[in-house]
Amino acid sequence: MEIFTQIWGSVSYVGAVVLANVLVGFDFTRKKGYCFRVLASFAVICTLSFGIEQWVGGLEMSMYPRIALRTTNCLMVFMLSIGMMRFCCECSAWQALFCVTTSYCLEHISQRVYSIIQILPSYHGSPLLNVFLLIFARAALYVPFYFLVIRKLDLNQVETDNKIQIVATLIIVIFAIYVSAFASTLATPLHSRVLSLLIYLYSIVLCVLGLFVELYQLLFKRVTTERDLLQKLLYQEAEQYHREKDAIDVINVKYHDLKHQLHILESQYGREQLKNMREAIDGYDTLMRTGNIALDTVLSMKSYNCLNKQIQLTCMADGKQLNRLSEADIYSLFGNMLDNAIEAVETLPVEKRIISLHVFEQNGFVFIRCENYCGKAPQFQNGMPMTTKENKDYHGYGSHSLCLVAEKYKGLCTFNLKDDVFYTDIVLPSEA
Amino acid sequence: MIRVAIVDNEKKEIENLRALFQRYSRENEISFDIVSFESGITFLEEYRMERFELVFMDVDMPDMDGFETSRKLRKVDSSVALVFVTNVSRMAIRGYEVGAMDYLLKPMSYEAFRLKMPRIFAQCQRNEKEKIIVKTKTGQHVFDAGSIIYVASDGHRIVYHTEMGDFPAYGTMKEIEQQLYSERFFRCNSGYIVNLSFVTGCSGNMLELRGGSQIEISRARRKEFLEALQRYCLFLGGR
Repeated sequence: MEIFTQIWGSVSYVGAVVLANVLVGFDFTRKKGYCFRVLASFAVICTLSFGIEQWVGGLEMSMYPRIALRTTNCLMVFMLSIGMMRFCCECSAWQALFCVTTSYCLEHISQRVYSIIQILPSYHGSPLLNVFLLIFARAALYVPFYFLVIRKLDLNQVETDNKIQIVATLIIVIFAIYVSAFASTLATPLHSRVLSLLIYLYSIVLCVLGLFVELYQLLFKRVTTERDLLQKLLYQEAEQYHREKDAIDVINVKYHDLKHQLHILESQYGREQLKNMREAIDGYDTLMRTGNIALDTVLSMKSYNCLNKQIQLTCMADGKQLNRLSEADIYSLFGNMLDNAIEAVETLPVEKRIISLHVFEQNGFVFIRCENYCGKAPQFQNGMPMTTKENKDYHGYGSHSLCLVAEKYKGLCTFNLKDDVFYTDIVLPSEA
Repeated sequence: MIRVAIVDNEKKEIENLRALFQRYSRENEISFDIVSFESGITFLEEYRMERFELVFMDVDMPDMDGFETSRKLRKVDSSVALVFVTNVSRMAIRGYEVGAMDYLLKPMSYEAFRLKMPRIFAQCQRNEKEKIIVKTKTGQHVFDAGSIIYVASDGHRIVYHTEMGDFPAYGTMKEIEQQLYSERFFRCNSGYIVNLSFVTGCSGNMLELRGGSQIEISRARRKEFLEALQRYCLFLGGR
């Protein structure tokens, strides 16, 4: 019977750690044979942990070294967990460390909650009830934590922003584990329930603090800075939009005035003489009418731009499909999309300077597509084209912004390259 | 083989366009059967359903212009792929009103043709009549892939919901998924495979299908769904 209790001890402990690792690292790209890798890691860690436990149990030694060795067993599981993350997922060492420190905090909190329930005076648990209680304590923490916290994390941000916090949490976790292991052995519940309770609460608070240190930056800071930046950019874009809209209105009026005057002149002079003049102003009739004013404005602006750079911009756009998007978003979306395309074609030979834009509805979804040739094939990372510009600080912000606007309307933005043609595609549900 | 009609009042333009098709055909292992018409009126007189898969229409024609011809064409055939050829961009931008897929600017260049055409040719070549053999409880049935609306499983029973009615069948979802392996079908969740051409919208986590049925789509599959829809509607092909 005792051996079973010991096996259960190892299995439930390692199981809880492995499960927490899997949950925290759920969004990593999984290596081939992921499930097998996880199970294999579980088996290896379990066996080693149980082995050490047995070995320590058989040694003749006094109490303090024994507790020290036992606790070190926890640290071994910790190290192996980092190995497990690297073995199962595509992640860096820092990301693995982040996951394992987080899952250790989780494991320890749920373990201590279980301990607290066990020392309650009114609790008289059978071994079976203890097993259920432990599983329940784990589930009651893991499940909400996964849905409320982990899903909101962007694991890709971990490494760049979070190294110091990871180290701090690492220290807190190790400290919490050692202190609570020693203290709880010294002050057994038999001596003093109150003292045990205080120690348990103390280590729970430590772990919560650890989680807070590690996650706060990722959860809140990141969001606010990104949102600030985007808001600022959107604001700048909106400003620019209004300026350009005014400019276009002026050009428009002038264009129609001139055309009218030419018409009058034509009746007085010969047609041939005025043909050149007419052709000169025809270039300015790039005004597009799509059924959406914001789209018309962006297109007109960008087509002047294209005219100067000898780029042929064709566009077949059912603008009214975009009416549920805000003006600023339309301006940002098409502005960025066309800027990317213009940048890609402007250095090509003239015959390849072509951009083809489409907006149409199909199957209850709005499709936006931009097709253009590109000279130097961009590198892709996570489906996003990397910038070919020198300045990486502002790296691919245009493409990033396309994705954010698409996501805002519950849609998707993808980038594809086929031979020498680059496709930017956005799909949006017709209604929210 | 794609059957193409070219409608243009200028012989020279027709020849230009033919040359573009020939060059594309040489470079891309795809063949065209081209018939040309010198006015919209003769084109409409000789038009029959399913005679052409693709129509190239000059916008600026005397008598009946390209838009007018297209409006009349759409009364006869709502689905044939249509591409405009035009001098002036601002005319063609509203081509979607008559269901045009794109337009080429004159003077036509091969580079523009090669940039724009793959999506349009893929649309023409899509085989709506692809046959699928299904073992149902009443025997073997042959369905057009385009007539299967969705396949549902409740864990024990599998039912093909088609335009001709519902057919209970044998097999597992996995087998059926392999059998229906085509960019047209998408597995929404463990119990449903849906034909994307019947999807009419998406609100929240429900897909709406033509005919009013709704299918739940899991949060995790939503992004994949949008990707599949892009592949299906825009012919992105596999990555």
